[in-house]
Amino acid sequence: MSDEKSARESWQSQGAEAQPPSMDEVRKAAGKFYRRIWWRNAVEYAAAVFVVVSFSYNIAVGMGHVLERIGSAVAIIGVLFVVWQLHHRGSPSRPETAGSMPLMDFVREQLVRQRDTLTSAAWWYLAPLVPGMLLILVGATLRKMADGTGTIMIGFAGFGFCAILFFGAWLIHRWGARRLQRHIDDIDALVRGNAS
Amino acid sequence: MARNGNQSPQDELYARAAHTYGAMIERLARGYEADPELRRDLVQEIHAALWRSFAIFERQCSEKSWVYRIAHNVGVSHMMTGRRRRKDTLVGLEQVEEPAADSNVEAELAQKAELEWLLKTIHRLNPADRQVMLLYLEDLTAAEIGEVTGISAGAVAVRIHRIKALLADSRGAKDDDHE
Repeated sequence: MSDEKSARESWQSQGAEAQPPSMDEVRKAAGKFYRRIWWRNAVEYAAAVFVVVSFSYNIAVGMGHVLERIGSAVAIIGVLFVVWQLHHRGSPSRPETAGSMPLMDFVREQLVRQRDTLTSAAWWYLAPLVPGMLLILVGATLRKMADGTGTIMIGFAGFGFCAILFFGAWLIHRWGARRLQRHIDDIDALVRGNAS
Repeated sequence: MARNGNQSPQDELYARAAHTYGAMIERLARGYEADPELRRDLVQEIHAALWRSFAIFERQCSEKSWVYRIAHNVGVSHMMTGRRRRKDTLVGLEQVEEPAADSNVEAELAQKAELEWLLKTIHRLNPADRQVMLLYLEDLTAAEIGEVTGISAGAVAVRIHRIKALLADSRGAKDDDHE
């Protein structure tokens, strides 16, 4: 018997005993993907609601320096913009749509979408939060300097800390996008047929 | 599978596919997941995606290609998620010459040993090579593998050539061990 035939026979000798799950089990499992997406969205929206409510409270009770209140309002707009972008950019491709195109095309499409989301994260995920954050920091620094509980150096330290956080987040997104691009390049080479 | 009297066309298509390809799905799951507990979940996930998929199936391709695409896509997603957890190193067919260092070639049951070797080899392969190998073992032709995966005919041919060489090498190694 040839090596291939023997290997195929060995391979195909398994699985015959398998019983497909019942229709009820299938229906139940079919909702799992959507429940996962629902929960992910729910966590994002809950975080946004928390930010909006707490910043609105700061504004309503006239807490802090005027710049802090303006910053809170700008931050609320920024958070709402980010939430709208998350919603607009949608959920991952549904697994049941995979049959409509060859596997590699399907996987590539998902990777491209993820890469584009990461590449553009600087303007839709990070940038909208910067103006509000800056105003709040400036307002807080001015307030603390006025009441003698802080100095300009502490304010700079706050700016530096935030700048590092945002720069780090940008670097992580960029690194993720590059990693995805490598996968996309591999698929392109494979589909074109010039992959070794 | 339990059936009720008023099945929708989606249910009927799914039930037929589950009956025809149930064993293949089970084997495919073995190729993507070694852990029996996680494999059960994977099989269920594939069946769920398959059932959902028949709501949008309009004969865009053959039913066979459709089922293979759905099943392999779920398998690859599962494998990539699992790999992130386990940090496995995956390789291509050209790097997997000595795949199963501890395969028991002196086992009494040659088929069992061969199967064990196959599974260990498959579990080390990267997604693209794993897909081609699993489809090849399911008796799909190079053209069918191309239709399911979207990989060019040339690239499929190269991979099949490597699979054949790999199988021949493994047979040679077993023969040497038996001498």
